[in-house]
Amino acid sequence: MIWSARMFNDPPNASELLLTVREYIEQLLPDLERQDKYHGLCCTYLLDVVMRELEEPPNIGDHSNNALKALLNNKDELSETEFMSSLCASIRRGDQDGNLDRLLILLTSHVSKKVRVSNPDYLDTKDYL
Amino acid sequence: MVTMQNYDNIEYLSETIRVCIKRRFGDDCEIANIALATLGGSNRTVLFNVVRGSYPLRLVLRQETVPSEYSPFLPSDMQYRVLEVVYEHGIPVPRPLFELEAADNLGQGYVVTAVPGETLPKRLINSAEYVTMRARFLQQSAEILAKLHTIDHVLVPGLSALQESSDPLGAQIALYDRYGEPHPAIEFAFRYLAKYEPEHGAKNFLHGDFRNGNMIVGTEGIRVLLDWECAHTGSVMEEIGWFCARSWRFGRVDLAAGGFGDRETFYRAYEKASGNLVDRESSRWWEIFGVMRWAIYNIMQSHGHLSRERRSPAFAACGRNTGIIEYDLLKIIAKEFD
Repeated sequence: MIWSARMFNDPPNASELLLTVREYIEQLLPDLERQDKYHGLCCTYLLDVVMRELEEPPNIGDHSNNALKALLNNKDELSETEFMSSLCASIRRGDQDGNLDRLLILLTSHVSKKVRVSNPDYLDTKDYL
Repeated sequence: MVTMQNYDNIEYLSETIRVCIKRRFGDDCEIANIALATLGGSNRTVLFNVVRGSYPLRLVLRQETVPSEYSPFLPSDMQYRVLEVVYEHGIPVPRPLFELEAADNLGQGYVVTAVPGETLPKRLINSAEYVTMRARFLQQSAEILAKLHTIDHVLVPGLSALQESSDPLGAQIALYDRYGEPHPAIEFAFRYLAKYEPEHGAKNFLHGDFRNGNMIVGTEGIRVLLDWECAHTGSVMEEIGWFCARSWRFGRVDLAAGGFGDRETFYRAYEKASGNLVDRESSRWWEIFGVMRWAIYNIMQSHGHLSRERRSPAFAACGRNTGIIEYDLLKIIAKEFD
């Protein structure tokens, strides 16, 4: 199921289009010189990232995000970026110094959410689930 | 005006290098086999042959590509001075030949001799050709570092005045702040590192980016060290910790010392070569510092891509790589990763 793609377009859908481009680049790779091959491999990696991002349910990781928001004790509605900036400022000021063990667990969960998209194979099993 | 787009045009580059070389070596030499190598963190690398008679000489042009006001890297005139100094002291580096001048119309940079060999870290660690050489690479790395750390840094004016030299953690925080991108995991690392920061002791001459990937090797061992744009002064534990940082093991996380061997073997080799003890605790603090620094450098490369200063799929990938490095960082702090 693709969560963020609009569903009224004709097939192929977004993931299938990306896969098509990826397959074509893969075919080219054996004939490319070292530098172009490296950038070609980077392109296949980037396409994999986009495909995973399209397929990632948007509510993954909400639990840790909500727990992080609770740390700030901020009732205001903040955008994701505003919230992250507030959290960074709070850590920088030392407001979370009494809470570092809990913060480490929550941040690992927050970062794992990003790694699920960028390189899920890299995650420890307990951070993947 | 010379722009980076001009430099990407290989014909323009060839002609400009031809004029630059003829200015110095005379009209009877020619340029051949020009090739763009890796676009690294701060320098563009262009290889070319200078042909006079039947003796081609392979040279390398290193061009600055990051506008200096935003760059954490040494300006190319300082890089060149670093190369001259370490070359004179017998550190294996490509021989520095000349610096670019305004009349070369090639921007900032310098030319050194090319050294053949292998640079790809994964090949050094995994290929059958080099697998028996890992112990040799480890030993040589320790010996080269021990020798480098004895060089008087005063020979490179300005090296000790860099913020990386006087306030290493502050320098990384300042670099991170330039990009205005919120990364709570990196903020957490700043806090952790400040809380547990050890005494750093004497300041020595440091390469600043000594690791697997910044050396050219052959089947006989390390031929030269590359990429001196991060040179500064500091605790030798910084260099030892950076070499052992998890980011440089390229899949062999069990081989903490650069993917070449274990920490203790490396520490003992350095101690034997330098006559100085390695502070294990301090070195581990610098490993965490190193992973944090690598995360920030990935943010920097991603910004270079998004601002169109240096556009490439690899730099775009750096942006998404940041989270993976943050994951390492937090797991190391939690003592779940070694």
